[in-house]
Amino acid sequence: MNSQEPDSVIEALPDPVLRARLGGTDWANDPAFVPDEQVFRLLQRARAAGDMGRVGMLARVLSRRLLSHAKAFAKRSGIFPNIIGNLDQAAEELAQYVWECLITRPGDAAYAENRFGKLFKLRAIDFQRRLLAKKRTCQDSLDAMAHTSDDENPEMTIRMVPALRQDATPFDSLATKQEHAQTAARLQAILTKNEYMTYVMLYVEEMQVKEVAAALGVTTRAINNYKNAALGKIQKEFKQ
Amino acid sequence: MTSSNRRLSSLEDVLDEFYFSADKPSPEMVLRACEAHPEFREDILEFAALWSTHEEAPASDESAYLDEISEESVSRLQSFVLDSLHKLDSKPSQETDIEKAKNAIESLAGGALRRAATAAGLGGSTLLLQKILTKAIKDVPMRVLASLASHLNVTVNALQSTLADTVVVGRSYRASDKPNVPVLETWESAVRTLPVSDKEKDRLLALQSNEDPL
Repeated sequence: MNSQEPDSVIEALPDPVLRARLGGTDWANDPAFVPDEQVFRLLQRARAAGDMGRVGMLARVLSRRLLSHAKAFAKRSGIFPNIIGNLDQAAEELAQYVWECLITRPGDAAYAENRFGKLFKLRAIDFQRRLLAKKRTCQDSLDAMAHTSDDENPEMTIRMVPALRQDATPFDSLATKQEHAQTAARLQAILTKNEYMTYVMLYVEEMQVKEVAAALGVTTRAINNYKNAALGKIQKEFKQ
Repeated sequence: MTSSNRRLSSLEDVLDEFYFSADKPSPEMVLRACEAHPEFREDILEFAALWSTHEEAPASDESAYLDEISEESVSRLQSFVLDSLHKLDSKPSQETDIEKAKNAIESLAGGALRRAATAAGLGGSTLLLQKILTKAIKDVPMRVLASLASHLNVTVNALQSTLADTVVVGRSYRASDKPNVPVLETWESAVRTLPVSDKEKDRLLALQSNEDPL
C-alpha cells in the first residue's frame, strides 16, 4: 500500500501503457503491479470524468480479476461443487453479485477503494448465505419429517471421521480444524442451518456446547440434538 | 419499504459491522454480537460459521485460476458492469429532464401557449400547437420540435419522450358510444385545415421539407 504510485500518475499513462501495466498478475513480486483497490479507484475516477473508454478497459481488467477471486472462493468455500455444480458458472454468478454491490452501494464502493479483498470476502460470504437459504427452504421441511435411524450413531461417526478424534498435538489440532472446515464446506448443502452452525462452532471454532447454546439462546440439550443430527448426516455421507 | 425489507437491511448492517470488527471470527466476538442483537442470533451464528469455515479451509493458488478464465466470461461480466453503470448514470438526468418537460408542457395555457406557438415557428397558431402537444400529428417537423424545446428550455429527447406518453386527443371511452379510433393527421393535412392565409400555410408546410418525422 505504501509503495503504491499515486492514482494520478497511473491515470496519466497512455492507454496502451496502462493496459500493459494492468495485465501484471504477480502481486507479490512485481513492483509495477496495480492492486485491485487502485484499479477500482481508477475506474471510479474515469466514471466521474465521463471517460467511458477508460471505464470499459478498467471494468474488463477488474472483471477478470474478480472472476479469478470468485473461482478461488467458490472452490474453497464449497459453493462448488456442493451448491453450484459448475465452477465457471459459480464464479460468474458470484462475481456479478459483487460487482452489483460495488456499483449500487456507495458504502461498499468506498470500502473497496481501500480494502478490496476484505470487501470481496464479505460479499462472497453474503452470496453463499443467500444461496444456502434458497437451497434449505426445501431441505428444512424434509428434515422435519425425518427421524434418527440406528445408522445415525454419533459415536460411530467419531470413529469414521478422523477429524472428530482427540488431537495429540497443537499441529494435529490445526490440521483437524482444516479437516472439519472441509467437512463443513462439503456438507453445507445437506445440513440444516442449525446443524451446520452448531457443527462449525463446536469443531472449527472450538466453542463449548454451553457457549453455542448461549449464543443461540437455546438449551444445551438442543445443541446436542443439532450436533448429533449433524454427525449422523456426516456419517451417512462418509459411508457412501 | 416493507417491514421484511427493513429487517433485511438492518440484518445486513449488523453482519457488516460484525465482519469489519475483526480479521477472523472468535467465540467472544460471536457471543458479544449475539448478545447485542438477539433478534439476529441465528443469522450471526450462520454467518460466523461460513466465515470461519472459509478461513480454516486450505487456500488454493489463486493466480492459477487467472489463466483458466475464459474471454467469454470476462466479456459477459464486463457487459453487465457497463450496462449497469449506464443505467445508473443516465437514469437521474433522464428522469429530471422528462419531469421538467412534462411540467413545462402542463404550464402552457393562454398567453404562454401563444408565445410557445410563436417561438416554435407556428406563427401564433395555438391550434396547431395544441395538436402537436396532444400527439394528434404524426410527422411534426423536427425543427418545430427543436424550437419548442429550446423555448421550453428542455432537451428535444425529453420533449419527444413526454409527447410520446401523452394520451391521444379525441379518444372516446364512453360505453354508450361506438369505439372511437383516433385518426392521426399528417402535418400537411393539419396545416391545410388551418384558418390562415395560403402564404402562411406554404410557410408552415415548408418547415417539413428535408426533415425527419417525429
